[in-house]
Amino acid sequence: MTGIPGLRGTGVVGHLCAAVMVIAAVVALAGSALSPHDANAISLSYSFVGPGGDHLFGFDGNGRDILSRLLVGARTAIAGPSIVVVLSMTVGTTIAVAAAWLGGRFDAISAIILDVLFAFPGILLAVIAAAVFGAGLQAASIALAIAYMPYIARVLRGAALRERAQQYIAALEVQGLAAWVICARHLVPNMIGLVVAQGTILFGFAMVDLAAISFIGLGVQAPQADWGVMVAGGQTGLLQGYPAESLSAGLAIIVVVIAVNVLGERLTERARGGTR
Amino acid sequence: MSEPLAILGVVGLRKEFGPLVAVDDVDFAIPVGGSLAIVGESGSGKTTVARMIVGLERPTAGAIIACGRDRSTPARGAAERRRRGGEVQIVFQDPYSSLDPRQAVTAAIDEVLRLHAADLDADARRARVGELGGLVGLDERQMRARPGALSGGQRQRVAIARALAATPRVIVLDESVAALDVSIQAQVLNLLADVRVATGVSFLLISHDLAVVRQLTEQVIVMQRGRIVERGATAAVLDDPQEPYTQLLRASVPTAGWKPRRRAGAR
Repeated sequence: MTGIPGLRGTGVVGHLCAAVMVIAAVVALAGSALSPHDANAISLSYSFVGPGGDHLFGFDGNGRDILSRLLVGARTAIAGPSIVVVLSMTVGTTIAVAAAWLGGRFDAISAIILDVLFAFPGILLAVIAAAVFGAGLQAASIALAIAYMPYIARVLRGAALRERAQQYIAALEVQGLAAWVICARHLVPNMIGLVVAQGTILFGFAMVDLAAISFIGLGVQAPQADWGVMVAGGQTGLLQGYPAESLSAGLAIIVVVIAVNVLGERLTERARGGTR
Repeated sequence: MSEPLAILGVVGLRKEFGPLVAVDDVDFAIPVGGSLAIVGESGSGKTTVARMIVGLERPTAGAIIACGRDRSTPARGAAERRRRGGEVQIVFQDPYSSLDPRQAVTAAIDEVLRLHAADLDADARRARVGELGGLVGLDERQMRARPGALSGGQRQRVAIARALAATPRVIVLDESVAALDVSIQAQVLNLLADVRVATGVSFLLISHDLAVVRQLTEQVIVMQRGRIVERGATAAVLDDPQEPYTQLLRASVPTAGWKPRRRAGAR
């Protein structure tokens, strides 16, 4: 089958998932330009009014256009998990490669530190971060990045050890190349498939967690539009029989997370069974 | 043996892995331009000797001197690491894992040239890559390929070219032809013999295959359980082995009309 080179072997489903992610990314970048109305314009006379005219999804309890809020809210909903992924992948990969390369004492000490970090659930760290640094997307994202980093480091350490044992690495050492050059130019690029796959799966987890953190009021702050905030804000509407706000935001989260997870699984499968 | 011009020598070499003594009191010297083989069965410590010489294992005791400089402790700094790389190179047994699967042949050789021949500009490096490819008998299409598109024998040629790119004085051949089938083995052995004539490089051949040893080296040492049990000129040792262990190794080589006999009787 032909396809986009980076997605080879993930099938039609993989390409569909990637398309969903691209759309989500475009909306995240250009959401406010795409939105038909002001996402924060309140008009109580339209409270819980259903779809009509160019208001395709209707209005929320405060009379704000739901479609516009979805489009604008994509930015924080996508940016948060992106921060988590970039931070924890960078730190996790570095620790994994260093542990695999140096072995011995560094490996043992890093394993202990990771074990301690494993004990903290991400949400708990995010709550602590909100208490210390104040609620907000940044603190929550950094907290989640710290909480997820050990998982990444552990999975990638195994892959780094396997790669480290390859004879081409030994040949490069004998050539006299510096260790960090070998790691940066050869070892990490050869495990990049697994790195990308893990990062993709992590993105889905982080998105759900950040939505939950926003839901309990410690992430993105109302009235700013955000999918997690919208799920929370729609509660009153749910009770009164107007589920549009919570449902549409929830659906947006679910679609993106499923796309990301399915693609992540397929990329992992490909990286594990990869042809050498 | 007294050769002041040894290109590579080891004295009292010892390696322990926990309670196991893998290499025990090994001495040898390879004269400039000479070649030496270490033979022995699996577990005799011959590969450990090779790994210590190229710096992949650290000796428990003893000295390794290549080109007049000690290399029994880890290299300090980039310059010394590079210099050691320019003295002794290695070609491994497994041609399938000894090349970076993401790197085309030309890029792999060019990377070595950037390190060891920093004075060459891009054009000169390209010329040198082509020259090395020609020396090991790879055509232009193979030079542009990634390892995945090459056969085992072709990959081993790449590994030899990559080792030669550092212009080493000694190449350690760690069972370098053992994984190849017999006709390819013969081609690579001829290539190695030609390379030796063309470049004057010395070989340290690690092998359990006595026919290979005879073709490539003048001196041989026989190792058993980490110790040297016999040494001498290759032809003499192989034709007229003195030690029972060497006799057994030799008797184990299949020849025309060879019939397997119970090893218990031969011991």
